[in-house]
Amino acid sequence: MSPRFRTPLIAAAGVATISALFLSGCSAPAQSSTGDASGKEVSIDFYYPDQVGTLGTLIDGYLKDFEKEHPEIKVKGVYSGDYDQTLVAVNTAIDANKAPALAIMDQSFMLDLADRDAISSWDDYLTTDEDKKWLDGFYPQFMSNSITADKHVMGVPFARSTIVQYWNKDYFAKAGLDPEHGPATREELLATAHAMQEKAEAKWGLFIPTSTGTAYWLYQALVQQAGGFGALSNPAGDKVTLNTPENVAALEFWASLGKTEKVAPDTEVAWGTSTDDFLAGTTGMLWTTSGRMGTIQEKATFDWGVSALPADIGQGAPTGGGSLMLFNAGVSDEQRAAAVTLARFLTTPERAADVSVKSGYIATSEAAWDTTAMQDHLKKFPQAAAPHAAIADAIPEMATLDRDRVVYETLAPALQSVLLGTADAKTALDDAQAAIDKILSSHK
Amino acid sequence: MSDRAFSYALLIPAFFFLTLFTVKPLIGSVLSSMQERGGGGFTLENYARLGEDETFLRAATNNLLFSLLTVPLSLGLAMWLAVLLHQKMRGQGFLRAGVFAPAILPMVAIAVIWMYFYQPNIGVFNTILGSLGLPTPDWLGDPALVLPSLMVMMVWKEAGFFMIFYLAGLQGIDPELEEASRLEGTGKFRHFWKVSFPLLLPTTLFSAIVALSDSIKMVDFVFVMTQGGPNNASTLLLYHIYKVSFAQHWPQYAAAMSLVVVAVLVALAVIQIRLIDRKIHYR
Repeated sequence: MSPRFRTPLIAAAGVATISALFLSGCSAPAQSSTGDASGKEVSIDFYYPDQVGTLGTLIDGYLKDFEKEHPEIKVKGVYSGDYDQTLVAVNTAIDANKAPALAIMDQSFMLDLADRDAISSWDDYLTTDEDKKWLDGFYPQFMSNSITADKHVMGVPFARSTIVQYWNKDYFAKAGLDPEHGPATREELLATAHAMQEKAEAKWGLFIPTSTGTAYWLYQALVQQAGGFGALSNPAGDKVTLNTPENVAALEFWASLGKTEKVAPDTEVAWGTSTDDFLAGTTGMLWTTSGRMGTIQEKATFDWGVSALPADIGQGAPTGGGSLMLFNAGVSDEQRAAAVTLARFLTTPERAADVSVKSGYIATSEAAWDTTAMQDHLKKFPQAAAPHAAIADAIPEMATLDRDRVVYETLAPALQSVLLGTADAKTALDDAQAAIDKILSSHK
Repeated sequence: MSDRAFSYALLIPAFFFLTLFTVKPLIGSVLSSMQERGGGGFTLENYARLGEDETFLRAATNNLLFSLLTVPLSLGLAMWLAVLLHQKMRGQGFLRAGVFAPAILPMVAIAVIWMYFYQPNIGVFNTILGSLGLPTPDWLGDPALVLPSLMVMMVWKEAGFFMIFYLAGLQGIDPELEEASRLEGTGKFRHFWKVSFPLLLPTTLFSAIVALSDSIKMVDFVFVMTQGGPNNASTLLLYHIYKVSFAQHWPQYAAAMSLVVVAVLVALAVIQIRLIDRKIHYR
């Protein structure tokens, strides 16, 4: 064989090998029920996000316990970043027809996923009376936006939260305020914020984060307080209420914190770093998720208090957080059944209490609240009662079809344009209402 | 086997991957961009929508500003650093490595580091400014400052990278030219402007094209630092396209946007090559 003849052969062989490797990589199934027909052993994917930094390790532990209790079910737990990254990961998996059988998704993604037939209704897979009772056990405030307009339960509460106010007791004491009680009304809120800046030398009085990802959520609470319709969207998610006088008043109040009251910066108050700012003493009060309580408890070098948000004409804050959802694409009946088993396992009162104790998420049922673990924790750490008390007035989190476009691409910039002082509230909200009406009309 | 067959055999692997990863997706994008949301049908609506999509237009404007400023600034700074570090001096290797360091770091790491530099209350910049009694702006939270702040970071990263190319370019220039200049008594700046700069033009052309495509394709820092906010002041094209494609699950519209961006990039590259090529002396 001449050297010249050999080279192309080697090249061709190389190409063939690489192509074969590549093609085999493409066609290998990512998720398979290994026992298939016999139904003895089944393998499922489970995607879980961690928005607060404490949930990931907890779930890893639960999955180990689960495999001991259910050796016939193999769970591939996939840590999938934050809620938005999880949505992207799940969307990609759906397109490849390899969706996870079970995933923890931001509750407000549910309508979009249901609209695309990406998720299934839980009630189709609950056979026994005990199964059905399981769903009735959760707090109705958490179930209210887990149910579609045609009454299908599509989300099972797992890591649910609400907005609460945290305050720095040291500043309260220095400013001559009662450190045991946070402000209960709007007037008290402003007076407290000013007092902390003037008498306790806090740089800022009150942080209400204005970042794109969460602005709508905090805005909901402000609208509710102003006496408006705080849910902002209807249960079907095809209609929003944004341009009422209460909405305008809520946004003007929010903008006034930075512009006229000067108790907050007139630039963006970043969600991600606002907890650090509270812990560093930059701001005396902070509105944020109850899910951050674990972090604040761990890192605060001063005494702090927490309570439900203050009231004005109305009262109440939206719920938030994640629910368990059942995905359809490429999931077999056995895998679906295994997913339901896993969901039941993850939401027992003991585990719901454990999640609450270790992260600050709210116990999802009365039974979880009544567990000894939860009650013991409350004795040591009375602050944990605050978010639980706050859910009495909780309203559903805003959720619409085409949510990313509606909430992030349209509403968030509209709110920010007013908060940053480039537009007035009435115009911005009218424009947002019109733009969102147009987006949602394409879904009818 | 003939020479011709042999040369084609050698090209097969390259063609195979080019087809698989470039040509096929490109055709797929063109087809997809003319489908309705959710797939199927034929429509040109995706292209018509571009003109009235405010977020897209804002992202395009932001990106235009970002590219127009970061590309020349990065290259200018890179050239200046290269000329400085080309001279013989103490600690030359250390200095070169130091300047090149940002180019080795992953963009995400850079973004995280700079995000803390820029923090309004605990960040490095404001701590220094505050201790000097100067105003301490909110670099990433103020819509007027966020884009310039990101540009500074980008220039810092890119300048070190292109410095290496210029350094290589300078080393490729015949040292006799510099000696000639010295003998003739030509000033350093004049020598640079009349001799080094023109001879570096091939490097500049190459770097400018790479820098331009970097300024459009590198968006990792937007995810980490600003998520496009506040009020879309830091939304860049690829970030918006990513959001539309994956978060909004609308790959058809994202495909239309991508194709427009690719078309503009290709057009710009052709213009760059045509304009600069005429003035370049290749050896």
